[in-house]
Amino acid sequence: MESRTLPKDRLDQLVDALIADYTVIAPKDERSYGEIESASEWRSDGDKPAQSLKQFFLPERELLVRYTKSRSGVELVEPPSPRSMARVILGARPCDVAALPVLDLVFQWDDEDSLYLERRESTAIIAMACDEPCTTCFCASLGGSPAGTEGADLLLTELDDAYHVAVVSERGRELVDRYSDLFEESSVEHERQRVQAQEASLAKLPRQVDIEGLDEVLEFENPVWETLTQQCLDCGICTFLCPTCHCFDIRDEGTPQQGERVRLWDACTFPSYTQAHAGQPRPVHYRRYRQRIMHKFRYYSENFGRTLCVGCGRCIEHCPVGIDLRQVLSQVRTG
Amino acid sequence: MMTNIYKPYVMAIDSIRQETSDIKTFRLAFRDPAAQTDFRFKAGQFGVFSVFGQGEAPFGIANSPTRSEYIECSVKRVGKVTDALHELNEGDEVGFRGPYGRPFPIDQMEGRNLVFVGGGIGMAPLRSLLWNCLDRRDQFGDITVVYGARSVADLVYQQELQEWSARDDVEMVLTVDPGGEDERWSGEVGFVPTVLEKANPSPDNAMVITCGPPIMIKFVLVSLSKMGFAPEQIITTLEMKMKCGLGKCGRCNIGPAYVCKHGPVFSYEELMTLPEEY
Repeated sequence: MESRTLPKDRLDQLVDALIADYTVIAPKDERSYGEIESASEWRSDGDKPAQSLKQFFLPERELLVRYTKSRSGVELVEPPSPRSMARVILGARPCDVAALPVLDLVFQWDDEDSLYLERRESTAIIAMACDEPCTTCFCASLGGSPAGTEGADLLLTELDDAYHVAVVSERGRELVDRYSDLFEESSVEHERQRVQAQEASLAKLPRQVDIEGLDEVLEFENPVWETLTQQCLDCGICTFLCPTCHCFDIRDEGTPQQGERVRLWDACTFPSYTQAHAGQPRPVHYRRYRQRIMHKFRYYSENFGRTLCVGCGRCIEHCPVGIDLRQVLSQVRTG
Repeated sequence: MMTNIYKPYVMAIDSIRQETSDIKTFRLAFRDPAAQTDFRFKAGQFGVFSVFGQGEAPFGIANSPTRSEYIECSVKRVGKVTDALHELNEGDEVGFRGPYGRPFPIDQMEGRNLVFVGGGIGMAPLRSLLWNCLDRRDQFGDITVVYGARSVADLVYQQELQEWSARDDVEMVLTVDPGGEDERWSGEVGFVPTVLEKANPSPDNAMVITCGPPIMIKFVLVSLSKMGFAPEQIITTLEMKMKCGLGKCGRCNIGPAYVCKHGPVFSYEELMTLPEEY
């Protein structure tokens, strides 16, 4: 893969140059990624934020159409195209970035979701390889890596005195060309350091999960589901923090005269999700949890040939009652 | 430029027919004549209808593609959006997205005897297909319709039921649940599966299309099996809570199937491969 290096003392220059040209999103605090207005706002070290990148492509609340009723009838106004807003996401974690091509499959599925896809098209992604994986990370089990490049345009890896810059896509090349005076050719020594850094990080990954063939052994009728996660509070945190969960609701907010039709994040773990007048197919917790796991690790792969999980470990790290997806997956395999 | 797939057409309510105490049929016309011209659908497909300010809900399209100068939907009053729809008047405007979903396999039905088995408002998607077949009558074999409701007053499309009964190319069997008959009732009295068994249409070169309440479907399937119908000869529709109708929002996912995309029409053979979660 083509590469460059960026001397460490030029990182801030690059960030400032990007901020001058784009809306720049980067890890801002422990909680989330967010728009930064100066290089100092980028929290470039530390664990990944609690929230993934999902909200920048599938916002928690998104306007679909605005309606106004007048004497001449209903008038519908669409939101402005997200394409007009050129963005760069900086310092994104490889797991969060790898989640985006997974989500693309849903939003491109036959009927293209313009709101999502235009945001994807107008956003360049500069990922940053993880040097210190969290204790809950299991990206390598899902085909990812702390230095994974899937979904990224550029991948930065921190070396002794510079960042290694892997040019992953055409859009990544345009970026290094645009700011070519900041980048240098990559040397053999830089390449050696990159390999060393990435191997060191991989070696620090905690216990992984055996995903091999899981889609074939996951069984709907397995009695283990009923007792697997009885402590679950149905709070939905795992789904909201998950970079690949994408279930949503559509509602009208406003009066009959005027208002907005919006899409809102929803979760298959909520009873209301499938509660219909005709009935409730998942009235108890274990059925809803089973749906979540079956969807991620079996149904999704039947439809799209890959798993709806990137192993970021957020659902484990942030579960208020300590449910560990890695354990769940091994129990349903043996159960 | 991609289009916003969630932006509905604006439709004007052309007419409203009170079918039963809690079911109305709405006939909708596109406000934009160009949209009307371009609009195509097939029997069995559905749309997501909306009352602005109240929200969206999915309903099967109840008219035939052979009579598509408008869209009709029959709506039972059961919740927020359906309540709001029932409050509307002719001339009011609503939203419509669609058509969505996999239609009835009408090509497979050509040259075969057809048995329609409906219960209550389940007659709505069957009506679309039935008119479709009647408008191309010579392409199908015998047509039998078994339709029932709780009571005489709960039968939908009463005028059309009479019209179909009067035809000599349709075998019409109407029934009401025991106790649901009145003194003028000349049809059957009994539950749909029982009446279906009594009518006893032959499974030879036949297909059954059945829509109705889940409990009716369950026993209709038992009866059909007794009568010698194979799972691949039986076509039904699933109802599942839906939002987007486009395979994105995840809500109607049953096993690997999305009811909005892979359905709402399924053969019984296909249903048997899905987890019983509907």
